[in-house]
Order: sequence, then C-alpha cells, then structure tokens
Amino acid sequence: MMKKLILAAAILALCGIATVVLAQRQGTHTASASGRYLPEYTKDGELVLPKNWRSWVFVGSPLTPDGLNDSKEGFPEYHNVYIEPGSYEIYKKTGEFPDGTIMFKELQRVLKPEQFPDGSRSEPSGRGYFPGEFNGADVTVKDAKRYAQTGSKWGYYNFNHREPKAPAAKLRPKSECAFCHQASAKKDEVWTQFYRLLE
Amino acid sequence: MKIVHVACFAVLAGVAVGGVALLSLAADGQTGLRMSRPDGTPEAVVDAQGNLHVPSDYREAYEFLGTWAVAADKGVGSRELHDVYATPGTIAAYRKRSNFPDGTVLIKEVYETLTAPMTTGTVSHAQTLKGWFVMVKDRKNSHPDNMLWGDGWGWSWFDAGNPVKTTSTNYKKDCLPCHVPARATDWVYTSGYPTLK
Repeated sequence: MMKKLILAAAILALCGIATVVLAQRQGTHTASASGRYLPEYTKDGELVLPKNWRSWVFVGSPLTPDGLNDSKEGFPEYHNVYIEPGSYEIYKKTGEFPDGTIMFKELQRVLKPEQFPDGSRSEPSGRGYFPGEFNGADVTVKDAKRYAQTGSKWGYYNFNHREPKAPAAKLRPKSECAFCHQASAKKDEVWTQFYRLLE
Repeated sequence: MKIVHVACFAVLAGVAVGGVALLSLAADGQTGLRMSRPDGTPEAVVDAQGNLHVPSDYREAYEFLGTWAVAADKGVGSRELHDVYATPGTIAAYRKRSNFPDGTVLIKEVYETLTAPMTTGTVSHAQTLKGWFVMVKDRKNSHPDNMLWGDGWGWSWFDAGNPVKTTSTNYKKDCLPCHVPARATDWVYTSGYPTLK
C-alpha cells in the first residue's frame, strides 16, 4: 500500500515538473517566435499609447476630406491604419485576429490651405489631397475576456483628434464605436473589405 | 503516512516551481518584446544588370511613408490613392541624416478608388491596384549603361499584372519630368511625408 502511494506521488510530482517544463518551453517559443508588442495598461486600466506604430504593417489609408463633409466627418481626414506585426503574422496563418492584436489608426490632415471647395489644392503633380499635419489617433485592441462585458471582443480607444496624442486613453462605450464596426465591418469588427492585405 | 506527506509536498513543490516558472515567463515575455518586424532583411529589388522588380514582401516588410490622393475630375473625392512605402529603417535614417541612404527602396502603389457616403462621411478608399513606381537610391552610379538609372536613382514603373518586368525604357523621358519640381530634395517630394520630419 505504502509503495503504491509513494509511486503515485512520485508520478504526480514528475508530471507536475514535466508540465512546468513543457509550458515554459512552449511559452518561450511563442514569445520569441512572434515577437509581438502586446497592449500595455495603466494601473487604472487605461490603454497606454502603443509604441513605434509607424514601423508596423500598414494596411490602408481611406480619406474623408473636410471639404466633402462640412468638417463634420467622424475621423478627419486621412486614416492611416496599421496592424501590430506579430499579431499580423498570426492572422496570416490562422485567418483570425489573436487576443492582443492592436490596430492603430493615425489621423492626418490634408495639406492646407485648401484651394477648392472640395478641400483639394494644386501642387506640381496636379490637383489632389496631399498629406499634412498629424492629428491624433484611434486604437482598437482585441481581448475577448477583457472586453466581454462591453458586448465586443475589441476595446476601442481615442487618443485625441489633435496633436499631441494622449499618453493613455479610457475605454469607449459600445454605442460610440463598436456598434458601427459590428454592423458593417466585414470580419471580426475589422474593415477588411477596405484593406487588401487583410482580405 | 509520513512518506505520503513527503510525496504530497513534492507535488506541491512542483506546482510552486511551475508557478514561479510561469511568472518568470510572463516577465520574460514583457521584457523580450520586439518593436520591429520578426523577419530579417527584405527581398532584393535589383539584379546584376540593374533590372528592378517589385519585391513580393514589401507590404509586410516596408515602412509606410504617406498617402497622396489625386482629385477626381468629375464627381467628388479622389480618383486615385497613392500609398508610399520605404525599406525598413528609412524613417529613422532620414530623420538622422536628412537624406536617403544608398540602397533605400521607395515603392508607390497606385490605386483606383471608390468614393461613397459612409457612416463616417464621404470617403475615398483604395479599390483596384493599377501598378507600382519603384525607385532605388544609388549614389555610386552603379549602372551607367542602363537607361533606367541616373541622377542618383534607379527608376521603373510596373503595371499591376507584371511586378517583375517594367514597361519603362528611359527614366529621363518616363520618370524624371514629373520629379523636376522636387529636384532640390533629391527628386523626391519629401515635403509630402511628415513621417520623415
């Protein structure tokens, strides 16, 4: 009886250690292979402005000029959208945005002053909209558990629609952001229909 | 019974070690985060004869510099969107030295657009790719006999259907005229890229 107990305990102990070693190896592998930049939060739960987004993977830049929208568009004017590269690698393999994915929308004004009623101006290359001053940012973060009570798998944050960008931002309510993404964005609240790379 | 206790302790110790290991792992994951891309150097763009091609990996490997929109002649919004990318490290290098290092590749995608009213306003977004402009910085005059190299750059346009064979034959005729206003800034409209400031 005693021998059996000792044996069982030894097996359990070994299993425990084996599990630990395995978890550590897998964990280490995941961390180093993906090299992801994951969201950081303040102690009050605000999202910290992500770092180095301009070296991330750019997915597209829709344009809603002031001149065509009576300056009332929700996100003026260029929307330069990036995805964190480590999460993009996983998305490319699995077709799903993993928890921790960050989408960064940096807003940028068109070059002023406007010369035509539609907000465009003429430069040597012709009439058009040219990149101007940066203008704040909006960021989404996927985390099914963290945001579950908001009715979305994503958290939505605004870091000002002006410069400088806020160093941290509060979670926005569903009625302000998520509802529109849920109603019309093609895949998992992301506008993949406008971003060829993510299609 | 005493032995059973010892055995149980061993199991608990194992769990405790596991917990510590996982904790240290989490700490490791934080400190080990890399801000740049995990892959190494980007694909080559120039062959030995100086022929350029559009690298297959630029959308994932390159940095975004900025977007230009060509206004529609009829109707509202933009008829083309031009997204411009540069080899990794270009933004940091330009900010430091105010010019492009040799070997810098600039790629401009030219898209036809769709303009439509949406929740956030009347928006133009990229729809159909027409092709790419590619430039490669070259101070050494590496291909003096090649008509697509000169004035410090290699130059080529590629139709969307063929990213490996250019339709350009002479950069002085096909490319340079549109860049003349940007001559003072090494033929590149750098003032249009606030990312470089």
